[in-house]
Amino acid sequence: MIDILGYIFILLGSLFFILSGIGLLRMPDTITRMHAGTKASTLGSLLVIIGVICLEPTLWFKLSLLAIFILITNPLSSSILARSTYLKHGFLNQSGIDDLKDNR
Amino acid sequence: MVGKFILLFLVWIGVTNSLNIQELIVGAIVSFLIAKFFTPKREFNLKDLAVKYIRFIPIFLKNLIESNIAVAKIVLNPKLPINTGIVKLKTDLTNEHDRLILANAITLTPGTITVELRDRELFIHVLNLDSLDRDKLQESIIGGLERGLK
Repeated sequence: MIDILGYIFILLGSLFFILSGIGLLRMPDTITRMHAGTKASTLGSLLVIIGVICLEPTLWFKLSLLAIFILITNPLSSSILARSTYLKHGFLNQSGIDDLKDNR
Repeated sequence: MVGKFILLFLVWIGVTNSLNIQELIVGAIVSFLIAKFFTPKREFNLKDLAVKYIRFIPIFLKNLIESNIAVAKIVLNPKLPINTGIVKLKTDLTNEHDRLILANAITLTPGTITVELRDRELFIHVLNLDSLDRDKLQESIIGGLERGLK
């Protein structure tokens, strides 16, 4: 029973990975690609980790450490990448709003 | 310092996954050195922080799932309805740990990236600006997360 639950979680997680892949291909510039690519996969990896915990309960400690490290490092790195991209190249501005322009 | 030592040592045991005496001794030495030399001088109440952040987890997960679905809808929409922009929003949080967690939570929820954090001002790159009204944006982007951290 718990096996089936685990497989469902892994399937859902892979679905989010596919979606982020499609997003990577479709988005117009670097920062919007990061929205789709790096971060739609956060939920994907969390779901896969939960699924693997359901299948192999003895690994729960290592896997939850992995989840915590993903949750800590992912936002820091994507924030820094977005910031340096913005400072170097600017970004595709569709709404015309850029509050950071005047005081960067 | 003692709390940090215990935490690091538990992580060590979890990662090495062995109770061999040699591994335990090395782990204890490394954990002790890190806890001794890399503990900030300023004291903060670890217990209160832990309780607060554990309470924050469900709120964060709810936001994460909602915004993942929102971004998935954008990606699958044939017209690709995006409207990018960087907006400046303010937060009331005074504690710097809370502001860091808030900025990271905003970055982790898809559709928004915190590009810059200056004192109480967050500069956020938004994938799909649905309204240009600052108050509405404030509420939809950081309202819920901020209340979870208070």
